[in-house]
Amino acid sequence: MKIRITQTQLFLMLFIVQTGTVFISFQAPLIRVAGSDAWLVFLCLGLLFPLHLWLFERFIDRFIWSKPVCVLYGLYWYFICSSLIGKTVYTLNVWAFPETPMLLVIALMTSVLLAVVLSKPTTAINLGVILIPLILIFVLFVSLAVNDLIWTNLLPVAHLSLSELQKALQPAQLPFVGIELYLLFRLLLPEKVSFRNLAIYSSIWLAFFMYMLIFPLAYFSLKEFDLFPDPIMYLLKSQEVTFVERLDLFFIYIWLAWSIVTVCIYAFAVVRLLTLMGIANYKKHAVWMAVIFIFITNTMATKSAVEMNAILIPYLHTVFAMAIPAFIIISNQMRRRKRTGEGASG
Amino acid sequence: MKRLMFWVLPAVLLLSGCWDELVFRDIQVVTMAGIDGNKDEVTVYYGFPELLDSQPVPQSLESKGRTYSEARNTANERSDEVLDLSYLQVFLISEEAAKHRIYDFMDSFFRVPRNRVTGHMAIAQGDMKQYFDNPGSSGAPKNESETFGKKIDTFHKYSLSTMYDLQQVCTILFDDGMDLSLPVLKIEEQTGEPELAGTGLFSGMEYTGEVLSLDEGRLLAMLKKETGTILRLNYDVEVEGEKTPIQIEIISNKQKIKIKGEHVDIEMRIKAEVEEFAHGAVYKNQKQMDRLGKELGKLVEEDVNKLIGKLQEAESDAIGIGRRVRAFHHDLWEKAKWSETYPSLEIDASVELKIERTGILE
Amino acid sequence: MNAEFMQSIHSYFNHSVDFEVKEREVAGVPAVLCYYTTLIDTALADRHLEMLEKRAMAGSEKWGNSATSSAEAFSEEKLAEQVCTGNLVIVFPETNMMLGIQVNNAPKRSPEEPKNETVVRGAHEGFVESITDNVALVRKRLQRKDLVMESFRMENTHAHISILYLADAIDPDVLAQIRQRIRDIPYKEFYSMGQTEDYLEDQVYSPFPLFLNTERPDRVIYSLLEGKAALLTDSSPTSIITPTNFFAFYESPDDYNSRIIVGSFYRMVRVVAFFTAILLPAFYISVISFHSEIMPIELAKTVKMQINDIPYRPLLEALILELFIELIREASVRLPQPIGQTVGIVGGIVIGDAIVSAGLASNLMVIVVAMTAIASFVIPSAEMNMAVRLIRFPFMLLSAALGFLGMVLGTLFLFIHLLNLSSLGQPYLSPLVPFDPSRFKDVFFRVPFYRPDKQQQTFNHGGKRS
Repeated sequence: MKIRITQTQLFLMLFIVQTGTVFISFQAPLIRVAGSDAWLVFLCLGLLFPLHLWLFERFIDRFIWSKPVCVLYGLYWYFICSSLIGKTVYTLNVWAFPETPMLLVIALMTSVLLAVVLSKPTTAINLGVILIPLILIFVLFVSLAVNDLIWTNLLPVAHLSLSELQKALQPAQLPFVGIELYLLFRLLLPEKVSFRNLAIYSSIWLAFFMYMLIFPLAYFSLKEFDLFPDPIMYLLKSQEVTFVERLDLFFIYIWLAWSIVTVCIYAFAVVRLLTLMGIANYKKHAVWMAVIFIFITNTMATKSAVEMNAILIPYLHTVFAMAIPAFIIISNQMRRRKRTGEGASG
Repeated sequence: MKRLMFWVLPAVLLLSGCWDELVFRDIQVVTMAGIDGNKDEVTVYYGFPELLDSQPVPQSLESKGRTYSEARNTANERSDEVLDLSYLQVFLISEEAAKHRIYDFMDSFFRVPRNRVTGHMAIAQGDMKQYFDNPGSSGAPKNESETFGKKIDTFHKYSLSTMYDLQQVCTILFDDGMDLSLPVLKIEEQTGEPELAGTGLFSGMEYTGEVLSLDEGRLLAMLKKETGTILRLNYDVEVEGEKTPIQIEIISNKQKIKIKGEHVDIEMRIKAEVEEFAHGAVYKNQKQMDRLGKELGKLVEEDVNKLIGKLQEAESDAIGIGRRVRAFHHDLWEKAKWSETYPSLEIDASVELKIERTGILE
Repeated sequence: MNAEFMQSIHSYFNHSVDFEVKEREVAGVPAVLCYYTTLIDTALADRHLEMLEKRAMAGSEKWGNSATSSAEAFSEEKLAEQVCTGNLVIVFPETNMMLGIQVNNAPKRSPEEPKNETVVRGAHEGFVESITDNVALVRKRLQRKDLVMESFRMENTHAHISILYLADAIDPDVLAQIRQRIRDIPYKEFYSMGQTEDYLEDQVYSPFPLFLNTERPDRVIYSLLEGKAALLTDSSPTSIITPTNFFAFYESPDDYNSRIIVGSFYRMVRVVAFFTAILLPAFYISVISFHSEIMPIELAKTVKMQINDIPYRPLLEALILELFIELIREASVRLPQPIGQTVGIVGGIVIGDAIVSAGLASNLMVIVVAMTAIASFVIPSAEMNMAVRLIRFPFMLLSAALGFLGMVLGTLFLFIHLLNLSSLGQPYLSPLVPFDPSRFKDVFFRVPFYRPDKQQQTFNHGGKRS
């Protein structure tokens, strides 16, 4: 059966993939480097986001999913899945489950992934809906901190040197990761996407991340970011509400569900690539990949691996979301080749 | 395969048991903790209600160690149930311990996820032990954290001092542009009840030993805009040649901090309601009320300036002027370390007080 | 000759005692009357016969045809079919014709309000065990010519399954699928409507009901207008509505009869009830055995005092009470109503209190379990109610093993399962999934006026089936 999605579904998937795991922790490395300038740096970068999407949309026909490209992206997303689950499991271990064996937790999460991948494609496409109320709750509870914000923390701005700015650009890439999925999921969409819709999506995306950046920045003092790896969780931990203690504990689980869904969509993308490559019996492959996944991820769920991935992924992002698409699109433009069918060619 | 997974997974779950299970039954809820000591030796006190015959009876535990965590471990060995700090209401630190880098004692509170970081923090004068098992006037043990928790809440309601929870303490400790100020408790000798002694000032991470009086504490709370629901000030004003006490409640308080070079101007505009004025009518005519307001404003201004002098002398930027300087006057901020710049600043406060309401009497 | 013929018919009906074969003249022609004495209204039959005679005497051409009678060629199978439905059949052996007259007098109820689907305001009629009456109840409310009824005869009981639909509204693919699946039912297997469901469903191994069962004509009409089909049988008053989505089980006709705000409020209460019924015991177990730090201190103190002397682990404690509630429920359903109530009171109040004083379970656990049970009873549909009651047990096990983590994983699995479900190939979670913000509000609110939408046809909203 040919799958089709609508723009709402496309953007919902993209939003969940891009926010997912990173939004609780991308602030810390960025603020460590950029200080109170962090939000300005991120705002400027974020304004380029719709342009990036628009370029993808404009030249979508020139991006041909040839077999080597499929393999390359498949490996990249497989790695992202693994590192995201690694980060999730590590965080979970730290915040709530120090004793539970990591392998078991990873296996359980992988079983969710597998269940999604082996189901109908529509399951993965629509899974994000479950998160919508949770996202709203999350934003609402983060907003509780509004009275304790110290707005002077956001100033002074524009005191960064050029070298510092360069350093800041690297961790600021994290929220952008996942944008290349647009190239894949766009294939499922029959109609063209207008720039207006891209702009609406990117402003929602930008608003969300700015919110998640500005709140901790104004809540904590700069030096504290050296100590907090997950500022949003810490912010929730220090909130006091009457009906429940330890708000962070609830939200760590909401975040967990969010992360798992994110990874599910990545996993779905990997499986889509398998079908694009013309592998009919993808379910068998998926099961084996899941088994290997458990063991790879087990090595990713340590502090040092998590930190290393946080440094590595922005570089990979530059390669996979900018360099490779640019290369493919330009070379096809020169040779005047266009995507014709849905399948992989060459 | 799918069907196999279907059966295997739940089976694994049931076999696996529960590694992180910590049944609430087996937990001892610690509601109060205290720290005494110095860099080399730390004494930790825990207060908790123990259930004896289904009745909570306050108990306490004391243990020593090189660091806080070491002392905590010894305490764990001695208690018959797992000590759990996730309900910590009050955290006390002795004056002596506070004079060291206090974050050293507190790191574990922030690092262990179970610990509650929204408990109140205060400095305790005198022997820490008496806060935990002081028999009190009625003979019953007084270490119920509720007593402390409620007392501290009341202090905050009346804006007697500045109140912070552990997380806020941590934020301020790490903020260069502001110094900490915490309530100081003492044990009243006659009743054996804990009372508020004043507000202790910090410089950087260390306690200066300087304690502000309750009146100064109120003004500090007002300057920091961290007042509780009620803030009352008492002054003697001259009316028709005689001194008359007057009590006012602050309705609103607006301030502007202007920084020019090394000169800081704090302009406060206060609106107040009269709560006691035994002399008679406050509003005989507009002129008298204005005059009263002006006179009160002068008195407040005098006190505020005195307070600021005290803060500068203690090298404690409890008001947080540094935050504004950092945000808006970066050159001044960069000039030297703020802790060195601050004491030498010229800070002037001017107060404009207006009586808005006179109660239900004239 | 007639005697021989009568003999052969009698033996064709296996000499059943209530089968009558009588010889008489009708309109001057020798004829044989065949009927079951137990099925027909004999007085009515005589009146009809008289009328027929009169019409025949008047010499009209087709005197045998009227609203209640019709003539056709004689054959033994046709005769059996007519006689078995309760007709009086007049056979004319000479011309080899027969005349069936509907004088059926099978026992049936009057259309009372169904006991398990009562409403406060609105129609109080319900279906009965008769297709004709049921269809009449529908046609009475839906006076459209495109309301079509199709019947399928089941081989073993010779009963009928009828499909009722609006030809203009229904998706032809769905209709074709229903027809196909009914034809595929093995002929020996038809006893009840519940069984039929097994053959019609997409996923049999799911605790969730994929078809809506109802005994209310007004509900059937809402569904027909939405482009769904209703299945009716002679043997039961229950009608199956298909394809159905998850949220239909949470709607009650009451919603549309009450005020907008009130209706919306109760609809939201039901959504909350769904989550409470599934998650509350699991949540309590997680809190007590893993995450006690989330309780506010005042609550923690009382909880601690309550549970300090309970000898069992929270999971076991919960299972004991859940088992107990299930027993009470099952017992009171089976018993006659006055005794059932007594069982409820004795079980709920007396034993519940005794369990707590005996120290087997804490008061809090009793509250949790009782609230869960009540929340599950809020659900208007009995099948959904059962499903919800069932799936809370895996959740309890998961939370006892992994705390909140188990609950999150369980919820994800549950949601994935719901996403995979389909009712006759239509998405089960529509309109939530496929995500369609414009129809979202219908789920949680009772919108101001009823504007029937067509049943979602594909998993891709907006798009056509591909």
